Amino acid sequence: MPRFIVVEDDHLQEAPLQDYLTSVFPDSTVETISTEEDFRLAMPAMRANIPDLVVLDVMLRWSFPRPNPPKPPKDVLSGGYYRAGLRCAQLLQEDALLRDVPVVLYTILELNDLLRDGQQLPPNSTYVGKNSELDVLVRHIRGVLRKKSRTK
Amino acid sequence: MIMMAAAHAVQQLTRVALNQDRPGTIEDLIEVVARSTESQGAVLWEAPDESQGDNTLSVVALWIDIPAPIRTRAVPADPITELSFATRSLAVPDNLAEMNPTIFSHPVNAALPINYNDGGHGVLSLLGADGFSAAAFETTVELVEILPDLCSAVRERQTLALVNACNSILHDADVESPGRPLSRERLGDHLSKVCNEVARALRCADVSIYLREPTDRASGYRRLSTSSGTAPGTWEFKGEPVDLVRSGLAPGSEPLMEVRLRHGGTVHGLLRCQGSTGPPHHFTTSDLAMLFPIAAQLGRYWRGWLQKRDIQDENAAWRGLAAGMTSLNKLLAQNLGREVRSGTDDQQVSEVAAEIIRQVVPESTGATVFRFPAEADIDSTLVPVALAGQEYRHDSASSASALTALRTGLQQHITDPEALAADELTPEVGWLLCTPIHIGEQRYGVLETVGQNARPPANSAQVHKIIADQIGLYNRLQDTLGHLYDVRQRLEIARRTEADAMEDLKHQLVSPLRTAASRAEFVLVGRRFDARAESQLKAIRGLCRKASRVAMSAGVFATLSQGGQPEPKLELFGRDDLLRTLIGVADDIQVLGDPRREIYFDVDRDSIRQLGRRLVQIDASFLQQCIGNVLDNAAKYAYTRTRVKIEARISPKTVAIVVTSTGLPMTKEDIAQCLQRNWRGDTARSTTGEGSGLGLWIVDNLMHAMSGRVVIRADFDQTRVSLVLPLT
Repeated sequence: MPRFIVVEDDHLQEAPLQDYLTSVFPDSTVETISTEEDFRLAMPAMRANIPDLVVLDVMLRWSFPRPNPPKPPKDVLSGGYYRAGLRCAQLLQEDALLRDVPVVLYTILELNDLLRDGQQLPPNSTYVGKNSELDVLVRHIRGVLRKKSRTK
Repeated sequence: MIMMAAAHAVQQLTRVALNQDRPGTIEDLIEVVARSTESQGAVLWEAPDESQGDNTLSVVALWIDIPAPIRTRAVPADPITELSFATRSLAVPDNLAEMNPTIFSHPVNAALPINYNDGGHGVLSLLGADGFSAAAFETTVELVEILPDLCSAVRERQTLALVNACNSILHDADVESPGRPLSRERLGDHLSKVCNEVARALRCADVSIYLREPTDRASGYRRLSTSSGTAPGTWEFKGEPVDLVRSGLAPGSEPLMEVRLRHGGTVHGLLRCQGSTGPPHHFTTSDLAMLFPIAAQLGRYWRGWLQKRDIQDENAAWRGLAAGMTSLNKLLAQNLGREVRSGTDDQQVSEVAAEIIRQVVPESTGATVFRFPAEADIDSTLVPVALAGQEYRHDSASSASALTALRTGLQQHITDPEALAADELTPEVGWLLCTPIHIGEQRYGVLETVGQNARPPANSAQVHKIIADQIGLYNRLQDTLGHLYDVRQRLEIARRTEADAMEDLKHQLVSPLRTAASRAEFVLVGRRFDARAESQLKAIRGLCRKASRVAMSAGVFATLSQGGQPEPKLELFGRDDLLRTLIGVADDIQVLGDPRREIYFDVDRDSIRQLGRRLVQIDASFLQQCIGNVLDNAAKYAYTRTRVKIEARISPKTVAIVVTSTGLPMTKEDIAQCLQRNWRGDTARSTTGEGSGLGLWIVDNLMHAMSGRVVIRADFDQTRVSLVLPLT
């Protein structure tokens, strides 16, 4: 029973994606996270219950507005909103327990835009463009899961 | 017979005087006279101070058969000799028999007056116990006739020999070090030989050479060489020298001659002869005349030596400068090659420059580089950034001369002791050189150097100028590079901002279309039109409108980026049109909003109906775009569980569509800048992070295109955006 985590800040995209994944992988559980801040807060829980795959949007807001919010960490302030998903993938990669969790960067950005300024995809991550249909994403997820089960 | 003896004596005397192999001396002449007159001895006298009324006679030369030590002792004239001098005629003892006159215990036979060629007078005394024969008298008269001429000839030959000897010594000095000047010590050794030659020729007890360097601050002349063997440099001649001679016959005085060493109108020193190892035991103007050619030789040689040394120092300075500049340039290249300027870069450069000055101008005792702070007042104090050598200023923080150099852009060269003292310099400082560091009108600082001599070395002004120019050039390059780096950084930021904006636009455009497509897929798969399908279709409509707004934003962005202005298609809008537009846009935003955040958009219909029959001239798509962007912002930055109020405020000439929301606070600075392109508030940037910074800029431009304006007010977390349009 695969366990997916979808990190997507646009609720209009999040719901259809969650619905589609649930319909394609009927046994799966899909948890959604809407902001980078929530993703960081969810990391201890992820360590306790390691997901099979994480689908990560790249342009991801840090948090929703609220009164007197705490200041974001320095790397968020300097790195900004446009590559937040890459930062999340990197955090997983640097975590001893979570570094083997496959990450699919699912983004509207073209791959060459994503890798501008010499950035690299973390080793745990692969890329799927949002321009394609959802079944392209699903086929990619299946491939990643198969590869993962073979290496176990 | 007598005539032949006299002729023979004259011949002999002339031969001695003009001997080519061995130049004769006056003693030799006197010996010939003595022998020719069969005397036991002869003494030649003169009255050196006769012109001053003093007729004291002093021995010029003598020949007498007595031990040398006694012969060299000064002796007073005997009465016969004095009588002859006084009467200017022959005097013999018969005249004063009772006095029994002697010289060195030898009886005086006769004394004959002598008229020297230089106008002086003297006496020739002949000694002997056997009386003075007629033949001897005749011979003596003949010899005395030619003796002055021969004495002059001997003196001239002695002078020539002395000049030749000195020439030879100075030539040896040149040969010893042909390419460059002798060391001062070796020069002193050679000049001591000259002193010895002069001392020997004139029978002086001491001959010394005193010299002064052109750069010496002291007014005196230091002794470089001496014939007496005392250490040079331990004596100093104070005051200005003159050419003088003192016979030394006055009681308590000793013979003295001083001749200036001159060249080209400049007095470089003096040649001083003092004391006598005689005879003679006095000096005369003839002796002084003998010194003039030697003094001229020495003056010329010293000047030549100074020139050689200056050239050598100058060459060494240029070589040192070339080496120093190479190391300085290496450092400059290193500093200029770094994109990030270190705070210590300039100081390091200044320290190296000051050190180069100290090495290239060895006479300098201290060098300081002052920096003129950018944007500082021209009259403000310069900042010392590097000092090499000794401290030389009572107050190191200020330099009036350096400020003058900075102000005028001209090198300041100060040697006046009063001016130096006024500039707070310590008393040891003899010269001050302040060189402005500037390129054109741009001033960077001043390079200041001091030394203890009377004036700086000849080429130091040029050396300072070259180094100051180099530092100036470095500063200019630093400024230029700094400016280029800033421009590059700004361009890089602009490029990134543009790229971010493009990505955001793409995100905003593609995401709703992608979502709309997915939702349409669900409706189609469901194959029935129920409440859920209706909700999906409303969302699809909202998404498409949003995509349309974003596409239009992209178009406006492109127009504005090319320097154009959006062209409105104006039409008249009444209250119903306005109400419909506001409700439509608010509905779309509401439908697309995240229901979990519970942000609600309320349109105050009554406020809009207040418009009555008045009309507003607008471009409908522009207005939709403006309201949509403002409400999008409200949805993005409003707190959870808040309401966004949309209302109209009507004045006699305008209608304002006012959107009030509660969310991230805007500061006064935010409000002042939020209509600028690519502006994003710090709070918004650090909280949600999203946004391109184009939305309000586009709204502002579209409102202007419709002759309207945007007004933003904020009261802590309450933000009110008013879109003000003129009523027709």
